[in-house]
Amino acid sequence: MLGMVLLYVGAVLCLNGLWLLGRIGDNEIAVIDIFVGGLTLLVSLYLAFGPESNPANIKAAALTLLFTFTYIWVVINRYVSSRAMMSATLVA
Amino acid sequence: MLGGLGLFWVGAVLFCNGLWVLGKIGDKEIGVIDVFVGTLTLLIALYSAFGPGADAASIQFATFLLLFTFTYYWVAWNRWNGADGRGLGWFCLFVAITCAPIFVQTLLNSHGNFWQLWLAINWASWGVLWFLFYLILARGRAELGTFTGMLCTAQGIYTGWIPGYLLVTGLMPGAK
Repeated sequence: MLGMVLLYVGAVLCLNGLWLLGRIGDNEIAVIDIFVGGLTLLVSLYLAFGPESNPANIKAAALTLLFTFTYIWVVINRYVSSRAMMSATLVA
Repeated sequence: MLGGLGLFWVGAVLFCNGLWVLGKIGDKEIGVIDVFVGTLTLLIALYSAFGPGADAASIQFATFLLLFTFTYYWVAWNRWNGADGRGLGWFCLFVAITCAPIFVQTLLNSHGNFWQLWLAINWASWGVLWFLFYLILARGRAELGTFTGMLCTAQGIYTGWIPGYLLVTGLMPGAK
């Protein structure tokens, strides 16, 4: 499960990096953030509430959600806040 | 058996997407099959990763299947979000690079098994095709469109449609 999460975290970080560099459009980057945010959310929920739930898995879920919420936040900011121009600010 | 189900429909979506790249299916319609097959492969991946009997092998299968799920959903999504497709192009490069070690591992572990050899060829084929998607979408190599469309349609037939049918009907030599 960790390997699956990490592979896609790799994808989303590579693509978000390219987005900050201006190589991916603002209206497209949300796609991968939704995908990987959703996947890491499902894995976290499974670890925390699923049949194999135990203190170690709940800890993993708590920490994985740090990234889930970051990716989903990036998406929300693409749609609800025209002032949160993270890419423009950082590149500038 | 779930692999056969997934492959059969991957065949359908590659066949149709190839025809779309060749201009034989409209921009507003191609999203339909991409959502269908994206959702089917998503369900297979979730069942394999979280369902009863999930193990390291089925989680690996789910991980790699999601590469395709996300591609198909992304194609559908880009039909209406006004994006220029560069993000999908870069994701396709990620998929293409990932296909390379999967191809090598599948080939090395095939030990002459007919289906495993076919699967290795599939991974090599998908790596090439997704790299072409990258060149077209992220690098603006539009002149590759016709070749890519024809290759995509052909791969729908030989990497998905035929092996998927053989797997679900139990006719694939060497498949467990």
